Amino acid sequence: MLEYKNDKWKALLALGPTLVLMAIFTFYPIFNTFFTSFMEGYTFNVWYDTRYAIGWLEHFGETIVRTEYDAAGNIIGETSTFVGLGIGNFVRLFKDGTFIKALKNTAIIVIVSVPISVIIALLISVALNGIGKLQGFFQTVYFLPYVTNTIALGLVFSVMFASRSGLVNSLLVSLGMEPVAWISSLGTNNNPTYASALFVLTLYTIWNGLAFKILVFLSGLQSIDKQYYQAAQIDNASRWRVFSKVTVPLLSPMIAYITITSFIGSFKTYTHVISVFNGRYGPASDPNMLITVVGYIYDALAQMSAMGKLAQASAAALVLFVIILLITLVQLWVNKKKVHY
Amino acid sequence: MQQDLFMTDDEKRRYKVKKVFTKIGIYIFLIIIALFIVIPFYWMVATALRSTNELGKTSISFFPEVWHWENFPGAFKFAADRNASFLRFYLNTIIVGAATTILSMISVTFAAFSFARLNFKGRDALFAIFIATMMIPGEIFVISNFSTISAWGLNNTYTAMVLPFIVDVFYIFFLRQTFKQIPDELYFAAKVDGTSDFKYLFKVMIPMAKATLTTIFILSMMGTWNAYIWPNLVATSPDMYLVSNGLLTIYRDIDGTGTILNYQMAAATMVTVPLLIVFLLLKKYIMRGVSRSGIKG
Amino acid sequence: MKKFLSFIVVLFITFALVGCGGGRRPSADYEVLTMEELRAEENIDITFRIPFGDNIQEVINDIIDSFNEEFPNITVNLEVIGGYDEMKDATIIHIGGGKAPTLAVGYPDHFAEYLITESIITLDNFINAKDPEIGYTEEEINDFLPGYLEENRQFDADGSFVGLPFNKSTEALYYNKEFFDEFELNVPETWAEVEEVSAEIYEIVADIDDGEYSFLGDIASNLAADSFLPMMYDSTGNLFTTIIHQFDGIYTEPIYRAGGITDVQEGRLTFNENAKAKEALTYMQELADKDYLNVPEVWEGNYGSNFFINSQILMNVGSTAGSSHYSNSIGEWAVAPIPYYDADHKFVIQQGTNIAIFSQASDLEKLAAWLFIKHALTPENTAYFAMGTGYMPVRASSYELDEYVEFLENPAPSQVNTSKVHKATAEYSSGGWNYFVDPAWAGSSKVRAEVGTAVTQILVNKIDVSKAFADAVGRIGQ
Repeated sequence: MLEYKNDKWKALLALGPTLVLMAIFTFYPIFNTFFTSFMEGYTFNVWYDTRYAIGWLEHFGETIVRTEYDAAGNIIGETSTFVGLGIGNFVRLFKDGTFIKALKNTAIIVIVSVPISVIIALLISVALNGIGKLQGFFQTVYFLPYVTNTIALGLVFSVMFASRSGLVNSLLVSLGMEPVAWISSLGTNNNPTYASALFVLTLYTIWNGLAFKILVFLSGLQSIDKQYYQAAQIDNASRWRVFSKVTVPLLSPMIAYITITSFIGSFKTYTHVISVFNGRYGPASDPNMLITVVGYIYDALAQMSAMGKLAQASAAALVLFVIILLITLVQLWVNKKKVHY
Repeated sequence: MQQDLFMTDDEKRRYKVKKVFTKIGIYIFLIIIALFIVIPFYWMVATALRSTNELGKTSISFFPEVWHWENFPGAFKFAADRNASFLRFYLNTIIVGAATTILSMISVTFAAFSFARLNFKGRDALFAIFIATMMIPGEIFVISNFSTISAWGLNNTYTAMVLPFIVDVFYIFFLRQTFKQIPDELYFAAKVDGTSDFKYLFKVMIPMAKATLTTIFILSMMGTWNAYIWPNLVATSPDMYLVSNGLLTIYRDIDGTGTILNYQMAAATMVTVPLLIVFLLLKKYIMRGVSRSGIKG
Repeated sequence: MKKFLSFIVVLFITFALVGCGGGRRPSADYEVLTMEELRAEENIDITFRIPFGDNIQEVINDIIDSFNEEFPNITVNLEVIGGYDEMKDATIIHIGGGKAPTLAVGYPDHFAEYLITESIITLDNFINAKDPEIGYTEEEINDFLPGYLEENRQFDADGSFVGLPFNKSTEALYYNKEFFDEFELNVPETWAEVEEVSAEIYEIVADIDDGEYSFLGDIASNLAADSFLPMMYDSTGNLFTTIIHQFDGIYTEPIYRAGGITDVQEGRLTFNENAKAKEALTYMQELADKDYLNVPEVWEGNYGSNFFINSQILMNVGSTAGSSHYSNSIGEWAVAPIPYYDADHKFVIQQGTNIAIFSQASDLEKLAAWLFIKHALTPENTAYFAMGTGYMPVRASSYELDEYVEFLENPAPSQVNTSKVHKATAEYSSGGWNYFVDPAWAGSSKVRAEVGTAVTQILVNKIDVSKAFADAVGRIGQ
């Protein structure tokens, strides 16, 4: 509807400062990452040879062969490194079993947690919006997890789902059932399963994300003109019809926003996993059980100075980016069809 | 009620009963969820009230054995003994939070306005690029941005903690959605009256998006409150620490030999109180419906 | 489209410029200037970078003050950055931008990482300087505890010093003194004795009720709930390396490159093919099977001290820097050296950091930094540091100083805890113990984390030792 306008200058004025800041703090790092992922044989900050490392600029295009010795002077091996631009990092990446595992885990986490959390948040918001009196009280209560320290949140879960006398297991036992090894072992050969670990993680993720989603949905719901509801009332529409024909369409911009950002955020899951598992990606019996792509990236970054690690992290980030981009494009296309403004 | 016009007494009674039951059902649903939601917050406070001995036990009871209220001043004193002033941390966080939030809201408003109301070549492509930047995990940005900040000699300054976070695509996207919901008729009506685009932004769009803007304000402040990784790198003296840094580093030993959990949770509780107050004060702006007095029929 | 492309080109050029600009040819060569030149300078500014932690800052400030009495023209600026890893990450990036500090503390693997870009200097030029104000005599060098020096000399065949020890700690056996006294038990010195005393402990506590002894707390309930163990070992990673050394096994080995240079980016994992390493961990598994010893993870905890204070355990091998966590113990506690396997292999771990000087500093700044290090590491000052923080003095002669002896015998009230610990660790420097040194390379801390997990798998999940080793190697992998 605005196609006739050409607001080039106004846009430049309005978007200018934002673009400048983004150029420095967003585009530049992304570009760096993109470039680094194609740099083979690169060690962070080593452009010229040092006593201990191979300079990237100095040996650009060469394949360096270095011998490894042990303390007695015997040759124990040889390493061959190509220094230059290439796709070697990506090849290495996809050959890495841990990365494939991370991809798989991330996909499962996204598929399981996003739809559930969005739907639950939507239901709660609609329910909240419907009650008049105590709305403020409930709003505050639902906001509490957002202000609760993340360490405390992680603590609760580790206590609730502790295998020995955790709250949940105590409940199960009092109901006559067997305790479950949720996120740590219960005894020899009674280790957490993928399902139980994923369950706890999903619960934690939903718990964490509810406050924000409810806040956004509520502000959206509050903006819906009462006229529409009154019209529905005159037509004696059932609650369900009101919900599906009035609320959801009018709230669709917010639903779209929450869905898209939740998917994007879920692909980047990392802190939730290490919060539940105390710094690892799984129980002691399998510490990489639920490693995610960002977890993989983070581990590689922590070893930043080791040769090739930074490039590997960059390559993984690029792969993740492409995946998220494809999924989001699909969502945006759906958006165009279904979102009403 | 309109219903009075065409319902029998029986139908009216049944309708009322159905309404009451539905309302009770909703309340029960909300209360159950609320109980689940509240447990972490309760646990944080309960942990703060426990003694260190109790925390070491392998089976912990739901309620603290003895309510050690003295842990709260104790946490403060512990920090003061280490030359770490929590007051200073609060102050830093408020300054950084306020600066980031205000600057952020300004840039977000103008940016969302551009994408929602203005038309220029490449607008949708640029918006897509903006959304694309959300798809790169934050850890990647840290190295590069830290390098940039150090190169400019901005270490240990408020500027360093504010600058990289002024632009947040997350909020631009959110506000753009809200702006797009404002009907075109209002815009055309304003145009007929001779209002410029920017005046329209200030007089009509911003007031109508009050709920969203308040939400963004709260979320942005909270972001600073929880910020940890970046301030930890940028601050080279403890008097520049933000509240989250203080929380995590003070009660954790330098060698990693242990965390004083009850003090840490006591400090964490005291940190959340201002946030709750801010929320309580501002939430009516989210709740108040927006009146569309512009359109009549 | 054109605008977008030109934008990209601009970015590329910027990046290339920054990349090349920051990529100076590194060099860790320097010249030792004279003391006259230093004293003639009006003001020299140096920065000293440490992580944030309890009372270390205050004590360091005291040392800086006393340093300024002799060198008023040198200003030592203290920089405090988060935890050790954050500090290291920040420093690595600063180095790239040409803004490295003058001095910093760090773990050996941090130093390995700094060496990749030749960002820290070797201190030999200073140590061997003719001027007695600058250099160390042979006597003085030998005064440093040998294990501490070895850790700093592992990076080339000449044994060049890349740093000197600064705040070192180790492990010790905290035990419930009241219990041992009451039942007239001997504190175990060897693992064999640990087994003996553990069996005895079980016999003793079998008949005791809750609250019968104040120092045993709810012993009966704990036993019934499977929440009692005679002994715990706090750090799974430390357990792994310590016990392997005690069994004469090999944990990791360095890789060498041509010219006797140690590879600082990679190392060799040898524990998985080492029979003695396997023997060591199998022995530990047996102790766990008999319920004599385990790690805090067995009760889903992180620190043995939390269980010690409730007398759920009566002995805990923990860090010497963590004595304040035992303050709330229901039983009076004391400290002893950790158990050893046989007298020829009395190995105990060394933890904590060393201090290094960065090559980006000017030669004048380097000299000033060196003088600060010398000052901080005099026997008096390192003892002062130790008494104030709980870390270990790094020089043998510190143990003979009057004030230190006084500290061991008659500690001030605020120093009682650390004094107890130091009395035990004095054994380590005089009783035939060795602080062992493991090879360090960038990322070797990851190896430690993974073998720590292996220990949990071995002791808590009772996984076969060979499998746990293999899994650990797999996770360390690429």
